Parts: sequence; structure tokens; C-alpha cells
Amino acid sequence: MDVNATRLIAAALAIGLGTLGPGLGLGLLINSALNAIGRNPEAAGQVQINMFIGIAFTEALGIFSLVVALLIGFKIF
Amino acid sequence: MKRWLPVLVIVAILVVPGFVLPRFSTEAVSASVAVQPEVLFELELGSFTFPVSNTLFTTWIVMILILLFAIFATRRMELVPSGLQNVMEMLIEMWDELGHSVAGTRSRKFLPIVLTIFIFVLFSNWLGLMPGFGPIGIIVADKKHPAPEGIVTFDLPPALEEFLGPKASEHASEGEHATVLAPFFRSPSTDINTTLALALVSVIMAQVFGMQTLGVIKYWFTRFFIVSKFIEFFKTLFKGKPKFGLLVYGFLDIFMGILEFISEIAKIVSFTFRLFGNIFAGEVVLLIMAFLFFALPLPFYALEIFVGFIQAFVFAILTLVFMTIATTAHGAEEHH
Repeated sequence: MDVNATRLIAAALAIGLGTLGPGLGLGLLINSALNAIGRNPEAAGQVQINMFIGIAFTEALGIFSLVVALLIGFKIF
Repeated sequence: MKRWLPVLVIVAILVVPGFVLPRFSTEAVSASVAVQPEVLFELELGSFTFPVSNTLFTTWIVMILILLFAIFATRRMELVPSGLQNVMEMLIEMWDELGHSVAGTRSRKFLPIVLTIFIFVLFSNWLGLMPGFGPIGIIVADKKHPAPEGIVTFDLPPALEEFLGPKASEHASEGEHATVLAPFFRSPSTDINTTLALALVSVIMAQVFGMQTLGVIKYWFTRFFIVSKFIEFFKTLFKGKPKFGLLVYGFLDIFMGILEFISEIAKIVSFTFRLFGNIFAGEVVLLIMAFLFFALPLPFYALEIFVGFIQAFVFAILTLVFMTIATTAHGAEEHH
């Protein structure tokens, strides 16, 4: 297997596997946030704020894998 | 019929050149996906040259569009709004309510920046979806402008290669003579420089607001250099009864401060690449779908309109939330 093929597979694996975890995490996070809002609609504002903070941190992991995939795929290093 | 006439004319203007223009193009280009924006021309400003890339050029267009939107929405203001004024009022009311539920009384201070980011990102995301963004441009020869590192060219599908003539494959195979299409317009969100600038504005303004509200010293020493536990420990030490538990908490706080620093850096990275990644990936998906089947981009186009709005919304609301956190005093920790 030549270097180019390895590089492409590595980039695809980086983004493919790297989004698995954040995807699960986002699903769980929004599930519980919506549950909380459903149970107590008056607290929706506060729940949404904390949900967005959580989303930001969870999604950051997926974004890191995107960065790594781009770095590998576009031969930046 | 009368109402639809302008729409038909616009569609005709956008569609007809697509059938006519390829016949005139003498040189075929391989479709390329480039992270780096192409430089259109260079401005000579005294001693140094200022490269103007297509994303910067489109940023100016976005600025002009926002200016026109603002002027036309507020030109003849009425008590009962209609048309553009209605849109503007809806936008501002929505964000005012949202800002009040997130930041409370501080929302009026944050909203100018948050709304500016929202409108700018929304306009640039949606402008990038307009027909004519991408396919219309100049063909940049490799000899004059060497293709920047990080350009991936792929071979055209056979059907398109037939349509464009045999030159396409020649150019693709020659390598060093490969030609690259530099589009005149490209969405600013597909340029890391734009998104990085927005992320820096967002994160730095959150720090500035935090220092304004809490005071510079209090902000830095309750957020990044948390030394209150150490001071308490030394107070007990001088009294002769040192509490070593406080020392442990002190080191824990120092560690928390370091984590806080790292999270600020991570915020910049995630802001930058969230917007860039979503919009850039969307445009690449549209390009690839167009090569598979002519009607296939339609559902993805609708998705990209939605994604463009959501990303603008997320960027703005995260800015608002981070500003709110930065201006909130860490009061609860001092009482337990």
C-alpha cells in the first residue's frame, strides 16, 4: 500500500471514528435536555443555556477530529 | 403571472449561461476542492501588496448587502411595520427575548455584537449557496500562479470529460501544467481566516466584558489565577495554626485555572472549525452530488440552507452564553 492510499484511509478513519463519540454524546445530551424541558417547561431557558454549553464542549471533540482529518487529508504535515 | 415574471427572468439568467458558456470555454479545468482561497488580484498600498482573495471579495459584497438591508429596512419606519422593516423587527425581537432569557439584564450590552455576528454569518452562509458561486471564475495557470499546497484535484467523470473535450484529461494527467479554476465568489465561511477572526472577536470580547463587569483584578484572580485558598492558608500559617487542607484546595484551584486557560484556546479552535467545517463540507457535498446525478443536489441544497441558519444561530448563541459566563462572578465557591 502506497503512502497516498494510507493517507486517505487515515483521513477517512479519523473523521469517521472521531464523530462516533460526539454523535452519541450529542444525542444523549439533547435527549436529556428535551426531557428536562418537557418535565419543567418553565426552566427551558436555563436548560437551553446549559445544553448549548454542553453541545459546545461535546462538539469540540468532533471538530478536533475534523481538524486532524483535514491535516492528514490535505498533507499539511 | 405578473408576480412570477421577475423570478422566471432571474432563473433564466442563471440557467441559460450554464448551457451556453461551456461551449465557449477554450480550456477545460479539473474540478478542485481547495481549502486555501484563491487570490484574485493584489492591491498595491504604498510599499506592500495586499492580496485580495475571492473570500475577501465576497466579504465586501456581504458587507454591502447588510448595509443595504439595514438602510432599506429603516428608511421609512412606520408604527405598523411591513416588508423589510417587519423582518428586521422580528429578528431583533427574537434575539432580545432570547438574550433576556440567557443573560438577563446584561443582554442589551451583549446583543450588538451577538446580532452582528449572527447577521454576518447568516448572510455569508446563504450567499455562498447562490448560483454562480463557484463555477464562474478565471482559470489560473500553474506557471503564473503556482497552485498552493493543499489543492486536491480529482479526475472528471467520463461523461463530463466527453462534454468538455479531451483537454480535461490531458490537463489532469500532466500534473505540473494543471489548471485551477479560481472562482470570483466564494462564501466567506469557507475561509479559515474569516471564521478565525470571528472566533477571536467572540472570545476576546467575552474577556473584555468580563473584565468590565467584575474588574480586571477580580476577573483574572477568580478565573485564571485562583489564589484565594493560598492566601487563606498563609493567613492561618501566620496565626500559628496552619490548615493544610486549604493548601490542597489551593493546588486544585491552580489546576482549575490552567484548565480554564486551555478551554479558552479550545473555544477559539472549536468556533473556527465548527463554522468552517460545516459550510465547507456542505459545499463539497453539493459539488460531489452534482457530479453523480443532476437533480441529486436539490435535497442537499435544502439541507445546506438549514445548516447555514443553524450554524449562524449556534455561533451567535454560544457567543452570548460565553459572554454571560465570563460576566458571572464565581461567588458560590467562596462560601462553602
